[in-house]
Amino acid sequence: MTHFSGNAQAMSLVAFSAVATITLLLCVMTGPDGDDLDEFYTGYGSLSPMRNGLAIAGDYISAASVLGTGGVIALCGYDGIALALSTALSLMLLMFLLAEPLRNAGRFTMGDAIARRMPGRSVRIAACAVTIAALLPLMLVQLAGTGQLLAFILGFSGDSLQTGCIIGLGALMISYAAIGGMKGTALIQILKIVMLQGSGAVVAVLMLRRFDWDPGALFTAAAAQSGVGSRFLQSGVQFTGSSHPRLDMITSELTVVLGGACLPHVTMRMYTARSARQVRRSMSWAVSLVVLFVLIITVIGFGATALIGRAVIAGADPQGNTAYLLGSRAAFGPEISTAETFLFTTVTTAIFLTLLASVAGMILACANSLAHDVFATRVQEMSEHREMTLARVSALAVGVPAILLATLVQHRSLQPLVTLSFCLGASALAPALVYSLFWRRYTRSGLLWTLIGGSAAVLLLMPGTNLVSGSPISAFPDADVNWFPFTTTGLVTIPLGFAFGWLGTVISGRRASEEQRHQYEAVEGWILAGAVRRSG
Amino acid sequence: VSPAYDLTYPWQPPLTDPPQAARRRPAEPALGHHSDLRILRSAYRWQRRTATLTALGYFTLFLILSAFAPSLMTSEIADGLPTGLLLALLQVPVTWLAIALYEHTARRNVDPIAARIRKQSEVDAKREAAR
Repeated sequence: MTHFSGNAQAMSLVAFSAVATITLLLCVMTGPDGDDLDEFYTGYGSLSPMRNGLAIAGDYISAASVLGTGGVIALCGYDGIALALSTALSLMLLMFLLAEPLRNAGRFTMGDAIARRMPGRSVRIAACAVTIAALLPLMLVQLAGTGQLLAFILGFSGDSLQTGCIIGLGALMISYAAIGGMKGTALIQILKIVMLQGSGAVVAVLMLRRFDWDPGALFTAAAAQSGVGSRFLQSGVQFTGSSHPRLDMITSELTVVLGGACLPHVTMRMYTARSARQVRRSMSWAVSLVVLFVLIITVIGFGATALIGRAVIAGADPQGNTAYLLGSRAAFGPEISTAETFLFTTVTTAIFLTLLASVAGMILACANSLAHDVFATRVQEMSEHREMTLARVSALAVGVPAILLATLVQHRSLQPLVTLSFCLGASALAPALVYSLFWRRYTRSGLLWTLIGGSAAVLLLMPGTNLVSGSPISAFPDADVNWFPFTTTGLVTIPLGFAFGWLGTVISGRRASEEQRHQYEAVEGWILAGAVRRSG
Repeated sequence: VSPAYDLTYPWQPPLTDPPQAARRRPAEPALGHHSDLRILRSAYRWQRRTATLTALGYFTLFLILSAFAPSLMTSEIADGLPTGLLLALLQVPVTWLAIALYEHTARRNVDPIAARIRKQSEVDAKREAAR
């Protein structure tokens, strides 16, 4: 039941090759042709709000969230829906709270947005370090997942072949980022989100048809097949092993809410809009699409459990990462026509494209930050040509270590890495962004305290959490250093991140924060209204 | 206070800031003292706080209810549809509604002021350049 027919495999292989070729071609065609930094980093704000919104949603819905969330929904039911809703809410909060001032304050990278008020290399280097620290784990997850997913869809086994897939596709992802820049990757993201949502919506409709268009029947069937009965439809299945299941559930979801949308590969898309109003329109599109996707993934996840049972899904992958695909195939029923095989190929191709596009977006965010925040500020007046070359080389410099690390971690549970990313986003990036955009007295040392202290707290606590060791599904099942009995570090580190910022500001003294207040007022018109066009 | 400042903003009272703070500030006119900016600041602040706190508050309430009031959340409203799931799925249309509301109020309360400030600063910049 967990193997696909030879026909579907052959079709998938052809489709994957075609997609890889076409997207690379698109990147070459739409990539920046001159030595223009603005074009490489932001695509000149040339995208309409709708397209920009599609690209934001594309960047936001990564392969880890499609497969991971699909798995949690299929295995844990209610808790999975809460996770999917947290993801959607996170993007909505980004829209309400940060998107517009971020667009006005930033130019290319998160370092730009933060350093607007407090120029200085240390701030930029810290921003770059946190950017890479937060995105590298997510890249590893997707790269390692690529190998596993291809092995699953195409039906091969063998470690060397999986490693080969990771290296080959990793190279492809680096070229997307290096050649296409912001505009090229935007195009791929748009293609991906359309394909993912389109195929997902059709499958969800087919799934509902199998339950006579009655969601209640779907839920009941899923609960019956879940092995835990009606508990499937209430909170608590996901965190049963935890010693404080309820608190763990609440902090996990809130960590996703605060951290998800603050990750730099999402915020970098804010800078590509032409005005605050455009960014608002774009975000409306993006949030709507993500919410629609929550519906789709809920139906497919529940449908997977209802049709093939929780045990089979957990047997195929203990984290349920293949549930989305298994559910999609099960929606067609036992007899699969050619048209249905074609549709299923579209689903697998959409997932494949999602993997490619999300890693490319993350590599681009890291490379931009490395080139623009760290290297370009070292040299006074670096020529645009050199900075762009630097950005492209940086894509390589970020991508190659990521690929190597991914081949090392591919056989471990990847869940802690995803959690690490979200915790860093929520504990270091979110406080830094909120404070520097809205708190006038926030000083440079406050900012450094937030970024460094918040990240250090996460990195110190993370090895002690549930997912790293101590249980059979953790990353190191043989070891047991589990002393912090929660899934995420958010309960401690998010308040700590905010507290560090406050403390750093208080310690730096009254004079420094008064000065900052004046600095802030000097740029306030800029941040709030987008007044005075941003100069070089 | 430099005479140039008086020329640019003849309608404003001169600044009374301590001189060293003024020295450290960039050469651009300080926009923070504009009353337009103050209005925009409070409009934005109101909008942002209400929207954020409502969204976050609703979701936190949902999580707390899920965790600590299982009997309420499992009572079935319709056939096979527990209250908890209904509250969860209800968030989808509510989100769409919230976005529409946010866009509407932002367009009405915030955008016109922001546009005015942008225009003003453009005029200022032109004057500055002409001098």
